This record gives sequence, C-alpha cells and structure tokens, in this order.
Amino acid sequence: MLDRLREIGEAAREAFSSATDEKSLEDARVAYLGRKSELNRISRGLKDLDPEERRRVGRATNDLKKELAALCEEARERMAEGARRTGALDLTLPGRVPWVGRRHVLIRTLERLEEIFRTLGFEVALGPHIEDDFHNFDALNIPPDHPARDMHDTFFVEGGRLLRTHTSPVQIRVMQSRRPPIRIIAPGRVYRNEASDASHSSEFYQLEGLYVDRNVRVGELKGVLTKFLHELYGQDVGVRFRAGFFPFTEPSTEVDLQCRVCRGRGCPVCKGTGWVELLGAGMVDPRVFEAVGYDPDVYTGYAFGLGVDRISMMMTGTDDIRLFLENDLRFLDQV
Amino acid sequence: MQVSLKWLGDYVDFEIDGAELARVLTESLTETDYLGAPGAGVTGVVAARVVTSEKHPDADALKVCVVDWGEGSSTVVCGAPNVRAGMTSVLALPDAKLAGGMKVSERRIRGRLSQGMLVSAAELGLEEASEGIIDLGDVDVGSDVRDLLGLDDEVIELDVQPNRPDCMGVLGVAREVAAALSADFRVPDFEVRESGSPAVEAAAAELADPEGCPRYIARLVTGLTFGPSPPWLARRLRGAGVRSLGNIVDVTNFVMLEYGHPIHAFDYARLPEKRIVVRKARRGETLTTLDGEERVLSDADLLICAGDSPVALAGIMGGGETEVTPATRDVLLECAWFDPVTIRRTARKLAMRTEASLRFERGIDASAMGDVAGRACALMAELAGGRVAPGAIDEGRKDRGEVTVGLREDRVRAMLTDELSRDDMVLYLDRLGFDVRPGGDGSLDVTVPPHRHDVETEADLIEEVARLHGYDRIEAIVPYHPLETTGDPARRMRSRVRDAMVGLGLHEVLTSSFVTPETAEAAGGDPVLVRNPVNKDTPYLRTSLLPGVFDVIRRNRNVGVRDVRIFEIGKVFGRSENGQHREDWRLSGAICGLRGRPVWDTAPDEIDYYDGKGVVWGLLEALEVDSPETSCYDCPFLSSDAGAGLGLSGRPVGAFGMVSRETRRLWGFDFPVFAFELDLDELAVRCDKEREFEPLPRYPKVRRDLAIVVPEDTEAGSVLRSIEDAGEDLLADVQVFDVYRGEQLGREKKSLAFALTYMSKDRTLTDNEVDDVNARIVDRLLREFGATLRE
Repeated sequence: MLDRLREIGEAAREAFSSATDEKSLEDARVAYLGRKSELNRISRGLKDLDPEERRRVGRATNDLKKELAALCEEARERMAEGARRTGALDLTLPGRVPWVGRRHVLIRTLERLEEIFRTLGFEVALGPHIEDDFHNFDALNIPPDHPARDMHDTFFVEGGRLLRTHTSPVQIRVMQSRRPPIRIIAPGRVYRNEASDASHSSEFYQLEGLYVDRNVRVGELKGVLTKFLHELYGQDVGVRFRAGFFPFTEPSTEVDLQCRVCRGRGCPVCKGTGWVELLGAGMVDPRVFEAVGYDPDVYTGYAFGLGVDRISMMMTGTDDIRLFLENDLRFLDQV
Repeated sequence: MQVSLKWLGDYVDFEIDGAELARVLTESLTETDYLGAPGAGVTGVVAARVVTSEKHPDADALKVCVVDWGEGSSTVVCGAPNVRAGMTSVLALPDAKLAGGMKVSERRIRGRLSQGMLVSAAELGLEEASEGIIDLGDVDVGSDVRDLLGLDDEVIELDVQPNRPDCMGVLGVAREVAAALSADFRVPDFEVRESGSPAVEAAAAELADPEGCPRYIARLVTGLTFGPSPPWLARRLRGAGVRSLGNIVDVTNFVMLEYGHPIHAFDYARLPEKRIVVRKARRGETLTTLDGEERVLSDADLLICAGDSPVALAGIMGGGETEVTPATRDVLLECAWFDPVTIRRTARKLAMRTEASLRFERGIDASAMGDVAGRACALMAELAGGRVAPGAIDEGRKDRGEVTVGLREDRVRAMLTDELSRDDMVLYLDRLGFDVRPGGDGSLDVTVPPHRHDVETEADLIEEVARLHGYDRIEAIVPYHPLETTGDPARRMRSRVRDAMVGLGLHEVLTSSFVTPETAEAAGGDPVLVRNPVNKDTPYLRTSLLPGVFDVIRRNRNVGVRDVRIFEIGKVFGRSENGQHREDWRLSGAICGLRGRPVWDTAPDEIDYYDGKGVVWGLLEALEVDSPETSCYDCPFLSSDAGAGLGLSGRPVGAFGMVSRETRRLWGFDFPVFAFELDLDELAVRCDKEREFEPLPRYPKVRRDLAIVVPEDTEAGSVLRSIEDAGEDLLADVQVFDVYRGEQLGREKKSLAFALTYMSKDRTLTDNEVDDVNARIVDRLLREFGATLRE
C-alpha cells in the first residue's frame, strides 16, 4: 500500500508540475485530489485495515494529500503570475480612483495655526461678524473721529451696526464674559471696505490671540510668538520685534520674520530689508482693561493678530489674495 | 512722510547711511523704507549758461544753442519749450550717464551737431515727468550740479502712525533719529527782522468758534517779489517729494514739512476785509477752493473768513480768490490751531484729504506756533525780498497746559524686563525730550514735551522706554501653560462635517458674504443691507450659501472645469423674530458633471438625484446620524419634484435635491446640478450624542430575497417602512437591491426587490421562524400596496 502511495505521489507531482493551463491543472486536481481519486479511495478504505497498518498508511496518505494540495496551489499561483507577465493584467493602467476632495487652503492654514497655538495652551473663541461700535472700536481704545479709524475702512449695516474690521472684538466679548486667566485665539473672517487688488481683499481672515493674567510680561509675548513662528517656519528662522502702533496695545510691537526668499540678505520680496512683516502685537492697553471692568493694576496681558491670507500666500507662493475667494478648482488643487 | 538725509542733517548729526537709518527707525519708531538717492548713477553733468539760442533751420520745434559750461562751450540742439538765452541749466556732456542708465553721446540732430544735451529734472531722476529743462536760477557756471540738485541725497519714507503727528514734520523725525542714535538735536536757527508799522494796525482776527479754532496767529509780510526758489529750497522740497512752485508757496510748504504744522498764505490785497473771522459755515454756504471746485458746506464745517466772506476751508484748503499768485506783493500768513475732529469730519465728508488736513486732524504742537509763523516770515523776507511787519495778530489760548504722568519703576520692570534700571528709564525719556524728576515711592514724574501730546498715560511712557531700549533686547520667555480644551460642540461638528465632505470627494470653497439684490431676493428671507457696499452690485449679506456655491460652479465651468463637487461651511445672516441680527452656520454643497472619474474602461454618466442624495446620506452616516427623515421643504433653489427637506427628530435641518429650472436659468446652467444646504447648528444639536457599545452578533444571519410587483407610483420608502414594521425584532436589515420595469410586468407596474436579513441576539433562528416572519411581511405588502409576488 505504501508503495502504491509512492507511485501515486510521483505521478501526481509530475502532473502538477507539468500543468500549463487552468484546464490541465484542474484535470490533475480531479485525478489526484478529487472525490473519485485513488488517494481518496485509499483514505476511505483505511477503516478496513488493521490498526497498525491503518496508522502507517493513514499518516502517509494525509501527508501526501497535504503535499499535493500545496503543489496544486503553487501551480495555480504560477499560472496567475504567468498571466500577469503575458499581459492579461497591465499594472501600469490607471486604477479607478474615486473623487478626492480637499480642504480650502485658508482653512488648512487656520487649522495649522490653531494646532500650534493649542499646543501652547490657547483655546479657540469665536464671535459675531455683525458687531457694534463698542466692541469693534470704543472698547479697543479707538474713539469716534480718531485718525486710527482710518486704518479700518468699515462696512455699516442698519441699526448702527457694522461688519467687524478685525477679530479683536472677540477679545472684548471674552473678557466681558469671564475673569482671567484668559488664553484664547479668535480666528475668522473680517471685512474692510476697500477696493480689491492683488494684496487687498474686502473679506479676509485673521487670527487674534489674547492672554490675560497676573504678571504677564513682554518677554512672554516674545517667547510665545517666537515659538509659534519657529513651529511654523522652522527653528532656524530669524524673528525681529520692533516698535509698532495699535490703539489697543501699549507698548505695541510689529513682529517680522526673516525673509524666506533671500534668507535675510535682501531681495525684492522684502524690499531689500531682509525682513517681512507678519504679526502685530503688544501689551493690552490699560484703557482696554478699564472698558471691560478689569483692574489694570492687577492684570496685565498681551494680544496679537495676524493675517491668515498673508501667511497662506507666503506658504504657497500665491501672488494674488483674490484667488482665495474665487475658488477656481485648478487653483485650489495647486495650493 | 518722505525726507532726505541731508535735510535731517540740518538738525541732527549722524554718520550712518540711508539704508541703515531706515533700519534704525524701523526698529525704534515705525516701518521706514529706504528709497535711495534720486540721481544715483548720474555722471557727467555740469551747470551751464545758455549763451545763444536760435531756431533750428530744419525743425520748428528745436533750437540750436551755444552753452558755456566754464571749462569750455558746446553747441547743443534742444527741444525744450523753456530754453532761452541767458538761463542757467544743466548740461550733460558726451559720455554722461542719466537716470535709468541712459547714455549721452555727440550726434547730429536734423543735420546739426549736438555736443551733449540740456536735461530736465526727470532725466536726472528727480521727478516723474518734466515739462522742460532745469532752470537753475542764479548759479555760477560750472558749479557742482550733483550737490546743487541733491542727486546724492538719499531719501527715506516713514509710515507715520496716527498717534505721532510730530513725525509728520522733519523736525519730529530728526528728534527720533537723535534719540535712537544718542545724537544731539538742534532746532532751526532764524531771526525775524521786523520793520514798518505793526501787524495789528493792518489786520485783525476774531475767533467766533474757539472750540474749532483755539488759537490763531497771523503775520504780515509786505513788498514780496514772486520768483523761483533758490536751489537749496527746491532741493529740500524735492527730497520730500514736493515740487517747487515759486518762492512764496515753497516757503509755506517748507515750513509745513519742517515743523509738521501747515500754514497758509493769503494774498493780503485780495482779502475783501482785513479782519479774519474764524467761524462755522452756514448751511449751504459755498466756497470755491484753490483747486477750482465749488464746495457746498454745512454748519459742521469751519471757515476762515475775511469779514463775512469765506476765504479758506479751515485746515484743509485755501480759497481760489485769495490765493498767492505771481502778482502777489503782500501776504497775510496764517498759523492756526484747529480742532482735529472738526477738520477730520469735514475732510472726510468732502473727500479732501490734503497734506494740511492730514496734519491738523492728528493734532499740531500748539507750543511751537510762534516759531512756525516766525520761521515762515523770516524765510519769505529772505527769499522774496519782503518786509515783516512787527508783531503778530495772536488770538485765543496761548498753550495747551503741561502734562505730567507718573511712572512706577516697578511697573516698567514688571512689564518689560528686570534689567531696566532707573537710570536707563531716565536716560531714554530724556533723550526723547521728556522732563523726568524723581517722585515718591520709586516712581518718576515725567513731564511730556508739548509735541508729544499722544503720551497721556503710564502705559504710553512704558512704550517709550521699551522702544528705545529695544524690543529685541528683552529676553523671550516661553511659559508653560496647561492645555485648554475646547468645549464647543458646534465647532467640533464643523470639523467633522469638513472631514466627511472631503472624504466624499468634495472640494471646500469659501465665497463672499456679499450678494446681489437678485440673489438675495431669490434666496428669500429678510437680508441685511450694507449701507456702504464696496461693490454697488452686492449690497446684501447672504442668507444662503447656495448662490455663492452656484457662482463657483459657473466660474469653473467658464474656465473648462466641468466636474465640480464643492461644499462650503460658512455663516449666513438674517434677522430673528424680534428684529435682531442673527448669524447661523450653514453647510452647502453642490455637484455637477460626471458621476465618477472617467477611466479607460468606464465612461461614467452625468450625475443624477441619487448621486447627490448619496453624498448627503454619506455625510449623515459619517456623522452617525440615525434615521434621517425626509419631508416637504422650502428651499427656493431646488426643484419641487426632485428635492426634499431633511429632518432629524422631527426638526427640519435643511434641504437637498436637483437644482430647479428657474435657478439653472438664473445661473445659465444647461446641465443638471444637485445641491444641498443644512443648518449646522441644528445638526450639531442632533448629533452630539455619546456612542454606546453593543455586543457584536453571535448567531448566524439568514438572508431571504423578496421581489414584488407594485403600481408605478408606489414609493420604495413606504414599502421599506412596512417591511421594517412587519419584520419586528428579527429583521436586522433590509435593502432595496433592484428596481425593474418590463413588458411582462404590465403597464404602470414595476418590480421592487429587497434583501432581508434576519438575525436574533440570543439564538440561532430556525427556518420555520424565518418563514413565519417572512410570510407576515409578504401578506402585509400584498394587502397594503396591492402588490403581487414576483417569481
């Protein structure tokens, strides 16, 4: 019986290794592994053998079955591989790609900024777009008829309301609603009544930051904004703090980033100065604290603001701010 | 504010060049651009006298001139209208280089040899365009033109902030330069030589509106001769970007630029009365300003009058009638202090932002008025040969009063840095002209100089210390802050929605908040009107995001992008029941074009309703919204028979469907578009629920298929609801897997095929159990829908 099994094994090995197509392989499978195969017959006949013989033949039969099944599978794979090589499957033809969507570039920038500031301990606060004069101007130490209002060409709606010209009114709303410590960023759309050109849009995005607590110092403002810029642009980028003016901060500072085009050597992008203006910031003016009922002798704080569109433009090399709200899909797919 | 380095050098000594000075001022004061020297690169130019000037024999517009340039004389052909014998101009010799790299060579012009050329200011880079060649006036032949015209005088431009009116004058900038560089600062040195009868005998002034005009000084200069300004004056003005217009006018401009205080010269003879009255205009009163415009005024506007006749719009522009002309002999010089708010309002209302109004509306230094008037008189007498009448007509308040602000040393250190000593603070403030005296309790009493009336509080003083110390020298501290969590479910929802939409293959867009009256009307509701729209075509705030989304489709179609799948998350604006403005977050989107991307073996069809509904349902699935309801709706942009409202827990949250024919007509779409708009605040409320674990099924499921033939108008949804209802607990899932119409079914009939999955949580179902339930379901469908079983 064992001899017979050896013979079957030899013939079967030959049959599986010489099978060249699906048909001959299937024939071999039926002949040697099928229900009516001799091997199967031997299996079924095992029960009639004496125990000693049954054990030996049974093991040999099982081993052979396993071996032949593996050979059969191997032959099948060999054939599939061959099919691939002979061109039934062209690996270089495009696959069926589903539609792929994208977030808007300004939203992606905002999310990146929010992510960095959240790791620095800031939470997100939002406010209305239709604002009143108090929150947008008066409380921020921009009284009526003050020349500083020239920096904010304003859209007015009925009822004496206006469209916020910056995200700073969110500062006021948050401070009015709770006590320090306050550590927020306020991202969102703002509105300026000015004609559009490549670098101006009447609707754009800002991100405002505010930290109020006891003993907040200029050094912390510098530390947090430097950290932010290093996260955004890399640890080796130069950052410069210089004098600035904002009605709601005193002292005020403008924060410049070393020009990334020329690395500070001077080029047309930075008008030869080696620096590009990126953020406005400063220590909250005590008059702002008075407007929201905080004691300026107890609390100090800093605020900062930046233009999201401008950062997006710098990051992507976009040279016209208007492209952002035009939504040409060819543009949105580029940036 | 533009100023040249040589002008600054009149008041402060410094060694650094223009680029470095611009950097210093940028860091300590405000953003300052270095503009370079106007005539950098110009070579080979000399002062030359035109000896003879005769018409070119072969050209009417040209002259042939002999010019003497000291070391020799040359013949040049000149086309300038103002060339004449006897004048002194600038000769560019052969091989000279002019602005913009232009090279001069000897050449023939219409047959006559020209050994060089007489040049204009524009050709030297001194102005944008010139009308003729330079007239140097009374200058020695052969003089160094580079120096004379300031060709090497570097120019910087400061972006002066609204709180620093003092820096609207060169003196103010010079003070800042001196403070930043620790250099000495000196004021202009001049002497007013007075003669004749006192000014008060020739004129008077009356302040009828002391609030609008707290102080008014007038001085009289007589016997003037109008003429060109000397080169130094023209050069100073040019460095500041101002053209020279003749000595008398130039003096007023020079003094304004020097002190930052605008002054005005009236032609004394043409004043109808020699009594100046400063008063508010009467409603409807008019004045023709010197630009020739007739201005109609209101009682908010401040006028300078001679007697009762208006002669100037105070602080903004003089009147045409009393303007200085070449015939002017006697001048009444005005140096006034006007209320900033009054000037600002009138200037804005009349859209007249002049150099004068820009300065008055920020506030002038009232303490320097006597100097300003004196300086102008002295210069006029010197340059136009006039006599200054003794004394001045001087009405109103003489000064603003002194301001002293306390500065706590500890506070400065707490805000800035511990490194700052009391001596540092005193030093910085002293350099800026503040008078510092020790006060009690570690504080300083700081008296603010009159030109710095922007400084009113301790915080203002801290800023002065900070910027002179240098922000860059303050050590940066990175504090440790615990991470805050954002607990705003609506915000989290917007982020999840964005993820879902992008995952469904839609691009995010951001569109304008402003819409046209037509779209506002089409969207319905009660839109908020913007009173002063930047674009007159779009005066309303959007009440729906869909018009913006449709605009994006149109824009992309116009540039050849046909498959547009987009969404926007944004605010819409409206009014609540009590009339207050309200803002709501919305999600809108639309798809058009092909259902899928074309592949080599597939040509996808154009999208239809089911593609769009799939997007919306995909969103709901991603948001884990169970059992959305569809209903009637009122979205004006969607078709009434191919769209529906969406509800959750009985609350409407939006609408979806094919865009209506009317909407497609409005946007010019000749292709199908599916669109949707959902209320995100409402959605957030409905979706903000905790997810709960359920044990995974342990027993096998049994699938049965069921096909029924029903009348054509039977809705699959109703049949599904009946199946679910009749299937009770054992029915785990049911899906429509085929809809078929065919002749053998009969007219107005269709077949609906369902795949039913049965499963129990606690046992393996037997065939009998499943058969029972399945039979109940079939019975119910046959009864309820007049259906027949399809074999």
